[in-house]
Amino acid sequence: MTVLPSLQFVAIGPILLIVAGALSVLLLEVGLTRFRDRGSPRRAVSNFQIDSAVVMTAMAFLFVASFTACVAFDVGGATYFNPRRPMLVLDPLAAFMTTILAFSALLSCALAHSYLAVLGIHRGEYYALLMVSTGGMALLVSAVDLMAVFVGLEIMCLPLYALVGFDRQRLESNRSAVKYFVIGGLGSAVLLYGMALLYGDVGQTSYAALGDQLDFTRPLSLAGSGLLVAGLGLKVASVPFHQWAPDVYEGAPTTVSAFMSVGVKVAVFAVLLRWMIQVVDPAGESLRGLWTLLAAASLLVGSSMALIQTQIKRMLAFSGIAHVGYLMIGLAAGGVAGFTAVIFYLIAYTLTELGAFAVVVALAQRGRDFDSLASYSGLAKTRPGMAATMTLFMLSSAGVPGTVGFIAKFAIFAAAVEMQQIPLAVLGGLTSLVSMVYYLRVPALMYMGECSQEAPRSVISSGELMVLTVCGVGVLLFGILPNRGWLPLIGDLSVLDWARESVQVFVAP
Amino acid sequence: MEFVQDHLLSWIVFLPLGAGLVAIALNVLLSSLGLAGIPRRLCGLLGLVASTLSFALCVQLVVQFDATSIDHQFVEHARWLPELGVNYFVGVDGINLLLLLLTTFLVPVVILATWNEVHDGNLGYVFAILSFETCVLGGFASLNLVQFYAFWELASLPLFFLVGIWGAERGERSATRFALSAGLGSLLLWIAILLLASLQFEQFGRLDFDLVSLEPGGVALLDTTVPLMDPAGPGQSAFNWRTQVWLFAVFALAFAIRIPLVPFHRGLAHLQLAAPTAAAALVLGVTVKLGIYGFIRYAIPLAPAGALEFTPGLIVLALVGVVGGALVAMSQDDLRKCLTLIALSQLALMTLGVFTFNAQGLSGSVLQMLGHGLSAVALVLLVGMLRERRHTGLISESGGLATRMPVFVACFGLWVMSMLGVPLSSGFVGEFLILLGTFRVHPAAAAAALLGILLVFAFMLRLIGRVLFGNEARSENRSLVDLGLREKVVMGILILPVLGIGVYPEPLLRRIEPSVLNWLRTVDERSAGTSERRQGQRSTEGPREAMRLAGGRP
Repeated sequence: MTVLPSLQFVAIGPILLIVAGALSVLLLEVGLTRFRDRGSPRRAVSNFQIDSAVVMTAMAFLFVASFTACVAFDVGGATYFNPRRPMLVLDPLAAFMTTILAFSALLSCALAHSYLAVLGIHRGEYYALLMVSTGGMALLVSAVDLMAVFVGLEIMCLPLYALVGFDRQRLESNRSAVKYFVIGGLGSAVLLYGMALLYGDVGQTSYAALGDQLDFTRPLSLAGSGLLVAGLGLKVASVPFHQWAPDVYEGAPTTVSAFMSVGVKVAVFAVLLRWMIQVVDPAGESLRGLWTLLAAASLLVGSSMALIQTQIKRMLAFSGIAHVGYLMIGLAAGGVAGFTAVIFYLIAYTLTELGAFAVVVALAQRGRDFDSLASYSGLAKTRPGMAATMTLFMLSSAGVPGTVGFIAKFAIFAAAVEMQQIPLAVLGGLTSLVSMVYYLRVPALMYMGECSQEAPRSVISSGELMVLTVCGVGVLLFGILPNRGWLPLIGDLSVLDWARESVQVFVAP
Repeated sequence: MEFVQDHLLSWIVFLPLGAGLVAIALNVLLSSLGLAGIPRRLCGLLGLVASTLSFALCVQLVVQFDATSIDHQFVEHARWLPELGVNYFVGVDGINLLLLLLTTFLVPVVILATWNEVHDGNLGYVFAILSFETCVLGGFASLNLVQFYAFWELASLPLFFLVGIWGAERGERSATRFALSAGLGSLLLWIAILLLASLQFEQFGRLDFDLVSLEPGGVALLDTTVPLMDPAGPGQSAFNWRTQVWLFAVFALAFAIRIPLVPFHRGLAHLQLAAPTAAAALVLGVTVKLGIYGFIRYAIPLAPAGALEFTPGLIVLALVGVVGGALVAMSQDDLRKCLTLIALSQLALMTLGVFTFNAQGLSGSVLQMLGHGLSAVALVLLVGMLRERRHTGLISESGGLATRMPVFVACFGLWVMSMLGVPLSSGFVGEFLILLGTFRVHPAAAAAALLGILLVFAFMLRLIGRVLFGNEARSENRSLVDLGLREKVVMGILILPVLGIGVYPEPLLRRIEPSVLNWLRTVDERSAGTSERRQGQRSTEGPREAMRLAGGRP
């Protein structure tokens, strides 16, 4: 009478790798602590080397996890962790999303290394927390049961609360952490209540059962789904659940803001995609009104508020809300085209947003963020390379042709038009025009403004260089040649094909 | 060489950008090695060489162009985003052939003429001009609507930086203002794309934004049926906005903003005031033609019934532009703003030529785009040379230049004549054909246009009197130096094609004509059902016969 042999550990391979990595980082940190500099003149290794060892370990584990997920995507098919009671699955969607998540976590680690040293908060827990959170995200994207979703969500969020408050000496960091914790807790409660209602209605929590029995004419189904969407919407900061985002992004260490804004959105949108495809309806007919409403609100509020920001992190936070609006247009459209567009948009968003935050990180001075927009004035004269890179990311965010942002937006709008949602697409175009104003303001300041008093950091670390290179090359490569396969591992498939394959499995007849 | 020959058009389009990128990469490499980077003089030389090479290839294109064919030639087609119907699709016919030639010709000339500006501006400046050239060329060569949109939107970026960084003191504001109005135009074009996409998806179940399909049975834009304006057909909702009328309205607004036609002209005037000379010259010479080209290539063929519906309104708007531009120009004190307004008047005239829907008007417009491009650029460059010497371009500050700068004055007079369309200059052929075409359709409109032309004439003569002759307004003018060798060379290069076209337009007209007639046929087919509205407006004879009748060809 053994349950264990029937478990397919392959299905949670990437998750296990990420969590194992987190534990290794913690152990390594503890083990190496006694070599740390305590004022003794003779020491075998420097602090920097210890930190590097920790970061390298984290990145190695994340890379292997990403690679494994990539291989799993290539193999295809769905593997359930426990076939008798499916809760976690490794299918193309999960594999693809895990690849993205692990890779963006890897980039976040690379980014954090020197930034934490600059801020003077360099401790190994950072990477352990980040990896546990990534593990939660990986759990989320492979969850096919409400319970697993909730567990994944909590594992994702709890380390994030700690990460936001990682800069313990700084008041804003603490304040953001408390704010995020309270609001995040509220979101979890709403979500849990929605799940309880759904359970009360159907009597089961698995997606398969819910998909069969959910009926939106019954009030319990409707209320439960609504609360579920509200809870998840709070996590991704869609309007009207968005107020926390700018404050938290502003106060958190910039590397954490970068990781949060990318990872959480990717993971939660994967949950929403799976929820739409496997439970609600793959064509996306029902709930279309809800998504339309949320999309329109997020687009309008996000882009109009971003216009009046004077700090770059707040501006990126509000523009992130607008990006959520675009993603929700894709959900509203539904169908293979809509869901594919959502996934591709997530990739574009990951590259662009991580890149933009990386520029902010790479300019941070000792003990202080390079945050106010005014300080970017005249940057092209002092740091021409950084100014050019930032311009690239801003243009990609605005959806200028030649960058990945253009193709992502185009795919979203084409999907909307395909489903005859033209007003939504037109609204998206209009907010794109508005977004041109606030995105172009940054390059305009950098190239045309007078040099500001505040001096940026003049050296760039190898980790930051790596992130900027990867994101910049990605933005251009996927923007100019989106239809080329670049990784020999997956044959001739391009990114767009990846995105399509990861949803087509479910939707195709 | 064969590789270049096989992809001639792509080479022409991407050579400038490629050279710019290589230069930047080289610069980064050099500075990372601790060296000083590329010397400034070399940057300008690089821009000159790259754009001249592109021009040389374009000349080869014109020579190899088969004037008897009505098809698109030098076609290159590659799948880019097949699921979304976006392909890399370029080709040349008689309509965009001359525009490509004009653009590739003007860029090296402009670089040479503004050598001092280029020298101050360094690598970024050269890169901006080269990438701008690629964007405009790409726009002219595109046969895929989304690709056209992409180049069209990208073209405003280098301009934004050129004006903002190297422009006048408050160039940043003008640049932002221009970028916003360009963005508005892009948004409208984007809406038109969405409209077409929704129709296409309904009819074929997939998207394809190619203008024409290369294989039979394709689903390209011209195969898509856009409903005529009838809104209350059976089975349709009472209000159907996916009709030709709406489609054309959106297109027309987008292109009218880009040309710009009358209510939208202020942004361009501001931009011109702040722009550095090279940018100002290229905007007047080349960019504004993208709007007219958009009308010819996309708006009218895709929604001819809508075009017919709006024709009277657009003709009135164009006439207001023709006359108004001339009138407003009279009250200006800044030479460059004057020239911009005159140019706007002439752009309106070209738009008028397009909306005559006959061969004379259209070929006149196409030819006039070339001629006007040459003379407008030359005048802006001359004013730029004056500004370089006097640091002002005000009419009231100049006067009595004739005694100090005889060569400058001769050139200025010559170019004004060419712009006015004096016989034997390129302006004459184009203007004459436009007026002839207009007269065939709306004699009254032709009379009004003629009035506008006469106004410009009178004004320009007065301008010559005030700027070139008259009293010396300022003592600073006494120390002015005449054009140097480089500037004389520029003027010499520019004058050749103008005289050439004016004296012997036949080779160009011969290349334009088949495409123009084919265009008229396409428009006729697509507006089936409404074609009886235009009965009696068409004439089968081409522009060349018209020129012969008028004795325009010596």
